[in-house]
Amino acid sequence: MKAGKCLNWIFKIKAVEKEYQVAVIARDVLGAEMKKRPALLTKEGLQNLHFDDFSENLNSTYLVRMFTEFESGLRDFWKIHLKKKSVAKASVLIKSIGSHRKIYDQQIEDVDKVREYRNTLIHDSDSGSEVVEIGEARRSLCIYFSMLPEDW
Amino acid sequence: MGTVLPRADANHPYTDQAKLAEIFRRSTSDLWLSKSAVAGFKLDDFKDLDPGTRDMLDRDVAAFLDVATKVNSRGPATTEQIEAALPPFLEITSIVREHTLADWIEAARTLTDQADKWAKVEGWPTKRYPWTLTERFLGTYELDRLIYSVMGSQLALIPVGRYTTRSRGSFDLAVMPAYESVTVSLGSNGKWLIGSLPGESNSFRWKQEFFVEASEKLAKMG
Repeated sequence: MKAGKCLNWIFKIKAVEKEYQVAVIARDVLGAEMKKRPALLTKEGLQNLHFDDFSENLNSTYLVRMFTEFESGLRDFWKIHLKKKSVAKASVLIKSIGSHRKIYDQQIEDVDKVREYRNTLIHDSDSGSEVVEIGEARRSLCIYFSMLPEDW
Repeated sequence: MGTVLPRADANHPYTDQAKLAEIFRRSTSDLWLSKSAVAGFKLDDFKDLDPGTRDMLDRDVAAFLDVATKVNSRGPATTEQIEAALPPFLEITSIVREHTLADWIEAARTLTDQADKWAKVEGWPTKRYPWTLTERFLGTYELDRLIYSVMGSQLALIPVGRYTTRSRGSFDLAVMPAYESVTVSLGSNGKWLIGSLPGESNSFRWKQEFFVEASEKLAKMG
């Protein structure tokens, strides 16, 4: 792949995964430190349960951010390359661009799975959508993006 | 490959001496004006510099320390002290920046050349593309990104940057476009290391056999 907007968006998606990996290390270091210094959080007005929430939400926090990068890239392509003025929903963008670029159904479905899980997270709904791990999301989003032209 | 020397860039004030001076003058903290700013300095670490630049660096460090040692440790530096320390300090950062960048570009180029050569030995087609990086201290510069094909998968050796955690620079070795990747990092001993592959825990020295092994494993993940 040559350098261009497509590769830049792929890098942005990957960069979110790297931030997530840093956050995982930070969580582990902080967790270990809290065992040695139980008052570490409380002196800042925080409780251990906040740390538990932080730990539990790491994957979803970064997945939402990762999907936001992906969606921004799609919107850029939609507006600049396809010259569309409409503000389409993410699901429409995925299907329309997928159709325009003749992206395989499986790749569209993989991305849609990430979108549905993202929706579950931000709307706090229990729609029964499948949990998507961050690495799996990165893979699906990057593969979909690679089907776009190198530049636009 | 074109080498781009550090340049003044409005978006990256750390490479613009005038802007940098302003930042230091306006700073509410004068932490930069302390002995620790040049702690560990050894002229021998700069053997590659031409004699004139080395002498200049040595003089600048001495001039900076001369001011820094007189700053009251319990109070802020005076305006006179800041103005006296700034010129040598800015010259030090400029010399160190160019030296660091030159070293990094050389190390990165050697790594890419080796990977390119080893890939060709395996019969893997390779291509190189320019890759622009921007780092706060180094400014904007260009390295090569190596692309090669292994068992129908596209692999890439992509420069990440000089200032990376626990290393003196790193690359991503990745299968594209899925971007499963492993970090190739430069240790403080000047040796490159291939980090652990996804799902594995071992790291390997940067050697032809391990480069080939890592590439083939990544290719299967594509």
